[in-house]
Amino acid sequence: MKIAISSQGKDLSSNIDERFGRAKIFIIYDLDNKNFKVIENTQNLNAQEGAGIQSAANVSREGVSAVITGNCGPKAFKTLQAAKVKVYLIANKTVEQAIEDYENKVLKEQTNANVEGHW
Amino acid sequence: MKELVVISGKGGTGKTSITGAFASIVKNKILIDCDVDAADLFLILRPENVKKYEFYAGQKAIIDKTKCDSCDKCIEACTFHAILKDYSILDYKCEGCKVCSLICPQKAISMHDSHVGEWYISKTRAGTMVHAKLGIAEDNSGKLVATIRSKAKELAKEQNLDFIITDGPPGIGCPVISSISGASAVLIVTEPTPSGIHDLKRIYELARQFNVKAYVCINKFDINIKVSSDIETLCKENSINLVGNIPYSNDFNKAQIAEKTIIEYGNKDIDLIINNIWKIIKSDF
Amino acid sequence: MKIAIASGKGGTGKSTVSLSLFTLLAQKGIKTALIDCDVEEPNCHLFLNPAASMITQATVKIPEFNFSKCTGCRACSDFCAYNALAVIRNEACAKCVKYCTEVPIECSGNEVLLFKELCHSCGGCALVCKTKAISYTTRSIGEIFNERVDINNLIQPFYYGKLNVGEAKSPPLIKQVKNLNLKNVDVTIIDAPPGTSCPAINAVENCDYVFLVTEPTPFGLNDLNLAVQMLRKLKIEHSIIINKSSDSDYLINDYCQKMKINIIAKIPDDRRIAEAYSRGIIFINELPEYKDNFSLIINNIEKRLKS
Repeated sequence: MKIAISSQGKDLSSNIDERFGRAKIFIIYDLDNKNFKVIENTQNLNAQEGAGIQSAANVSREGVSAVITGNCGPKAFKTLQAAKVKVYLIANKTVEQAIEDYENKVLKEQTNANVEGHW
Repeated sequence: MKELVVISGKGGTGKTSITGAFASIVKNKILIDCDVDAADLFLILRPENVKKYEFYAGQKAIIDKTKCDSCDKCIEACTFHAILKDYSILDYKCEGCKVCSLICPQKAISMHDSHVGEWYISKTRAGTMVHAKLGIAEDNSGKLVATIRSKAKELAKEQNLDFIITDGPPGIGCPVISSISGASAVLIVTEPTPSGIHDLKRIYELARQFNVKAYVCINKFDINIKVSSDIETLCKENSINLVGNIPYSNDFNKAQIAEKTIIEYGNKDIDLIINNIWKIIKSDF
Repeated sequence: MKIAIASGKGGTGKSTVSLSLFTLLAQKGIKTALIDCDVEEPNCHLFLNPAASMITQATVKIPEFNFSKCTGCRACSDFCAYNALAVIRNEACAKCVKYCTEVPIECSGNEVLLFKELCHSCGGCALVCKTKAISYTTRSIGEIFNERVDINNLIQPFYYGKLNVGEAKSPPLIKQVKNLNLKNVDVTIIDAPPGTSCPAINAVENCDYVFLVTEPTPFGLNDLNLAVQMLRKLKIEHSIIINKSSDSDYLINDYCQKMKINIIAKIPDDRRIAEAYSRGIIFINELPEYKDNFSLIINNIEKRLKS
C-alpha cells in the first residue's frame, strides 16, 4: 500500500509541506516494501486556481490510498475523494514522523476540506 | 486572529469610509483593500514606504504575422472574439485558453504570461496596508485578491496582530467571493433604498453560501426611516445581526477631502455609533 | 444607437441617470430600450412597472464525458488553462460501472471530474480529445428578464440579467443580455455595472457613446480617472455627468479641463432626489424641474440619431 506525503525536500527527514496544491514535492512511500519515490509538483507553483485539483490528480495516478498533508482545500478534497484517496492532516513534522504517526494510527481521517479554496 | 471584510452588494453605500473608520478605531491590526478594480482606501490613508510587486495571471495569445497565412481558423475558433480581422489580439478579451495556438496550422500563435496588475505593501498612520491595482480592462481580479489576502495573513502572523480589516469590492462576483472566503465575518453596509434592500438580500445569500458570519449596518439610515425599519424587520425575521444605524452626513465627504477618516475628522455621533459597531463585532466574532 | 451609462465608482447614480434618460427619450417619441447590465446587482427593475414579463435561463456550455471512450490520457486536463478538469484513476468508479451494465463495453476505470466554476467554455478539451469522449452540455448561470414597461403610458422594452448568487463570472450573462435582438428601437441605453474590469468592459464595448457618471469627491475623482482610461483603451467617445453636484465640483472640473473632457450635465446634491430614489421613484417624474439638466444629453443623442 502506498501513501503520499507533501514535502519540502526529497528525503524522509525533510519537513512536510503544509500546502497541498502548491507543495514542491510529494514523497510516495511504499509501506510494504519500505521504499519511496519522489515526484516533483513544480508545474503548480505558478498555477492559477485549481492547483489543488492537479496535485490531487497527480497523486491519485501514483496509486496511493492516502495523502498526508498540512491543509486541504475543497476542490482538492473532492478530487481525492472521487479517487478514493483518504486525507490525513498533520503539522510541524518531518516526512518520517508523519509516516510513523500514520502507521501507529495516530492520525484521524478527514471527512472534509479543512480550509477554504482560493484562487 | 480574526478577519472582518466590509462588503455591500450595492456600490456606493460607504464601505471604504467605514473601513477607514475601523482603521482609526481597531488596534493591533493590518488593513487590506480588496477593491482591486477601483481601490480608494489609499486616498484617506496616504500609504508610504510602498513596496511594489508585479502580478501575473493567466496568459495572452500573440500572433506572429510573418507566419500567418490568413486562413482565419483562429478567428472562427475563438470563443471570446479576441482576434481582430487583421490578426491582432484584443488583450482585454483574450482569456488565455490556448485554443487558437492549438489549431493554427502554421504554428503562428504562441502564449505569453500576462501582466495583470501590481500589488503593494505599505505603511500608513493606521498600520500596514496591503493593496493592489488591477490593470485597466484586466480580468483575474479573483486571483489578485487572493494573493493580497494571503500575504496580509502572513504579515499578520509575523507581526502578531489580532485583526485583519478588509475593504471589499461591490457586487457578488469573482472578486467578492475571493475577498470573503475563509473570513471570520463580513459587515454588510446597506442603505435604506429599494436597491439597498434588494442587493442586501443577494450579498447576504452569498455570505451564507460561503459559510461566513454576517453583520449588517444601515448607512444614511435617515434618508428613509420607513425603509430602514423594513431592513430592521428583514434582519430580525432572518436572525441577521443588525449592529448599527449611521446617519447621513456631509462630514464623510469633508473627511475624504481632508484625507482623514471620519473618526479623525471628528463627528461625535458617528464616532459613537461606529465604535459601538466595532465593540459588538469584536466581542461576538 | 447604443449608449452606455457607466462609472468607475459604485453608487454615483448610473441607474438614476439611465432611468431618467429612458423616461425622457420615450416622452420625446424616440423608441428607446433600456438594458440593465449590472447583472450582479440589477436595480432598474425596482423603479419600473412591467406590463409583460418573460424570463429565460442564461446558460454556458460545459463539457461532459463518455467514460466508455475515455482512455485516461489526460490530454484534456493537461490542455485546460484553468485546471477545471481532473483525470483520476478509479477502479471502482461508480459512473463507469453504471455505463458498463447498460452497454457492454470494457470500462477503462478512468474518471474525469469537472470543476464547472473554473470552466471558461473555450471548447479546448473536446478539440484535444483523441477518442471523441467529450461533448458539450449547458448549465444555468442566471436569468434574463424580457419586459415591456409603462413609461407615462408609452410601452417600451426593458431587459435585465440576474446572475445566480454564487456564480463568480458575470461577463457571459452580460454578453447574452446585450445581444438580445432589438427590433424597431432607435436608442438602446445600457446601464453598466461599476468598475473598469471585465463586467464593465463587456457592458460598454461596441457602444457608440458612454456617459460617465461621477460624484465630486476624492473617491469619485479617482475612480472617474480609471473609467476614462478604460474608455480611452476601448476607444469609445465619452463625456461626464456630475451627480450630487456641490461646491466640491472643482475636483472634477479641474480634472476634466486638464484631460480635455466635456462635462455635459450636472445634477445637484438635492436631498429630495435621494429621498425619491429611496421610495423607488424616478426623480424627474417627481421633480420635473430637473428635466432641464438633461437637455444637453438629449440634444447630443438626437443629433447623433439624425446623422
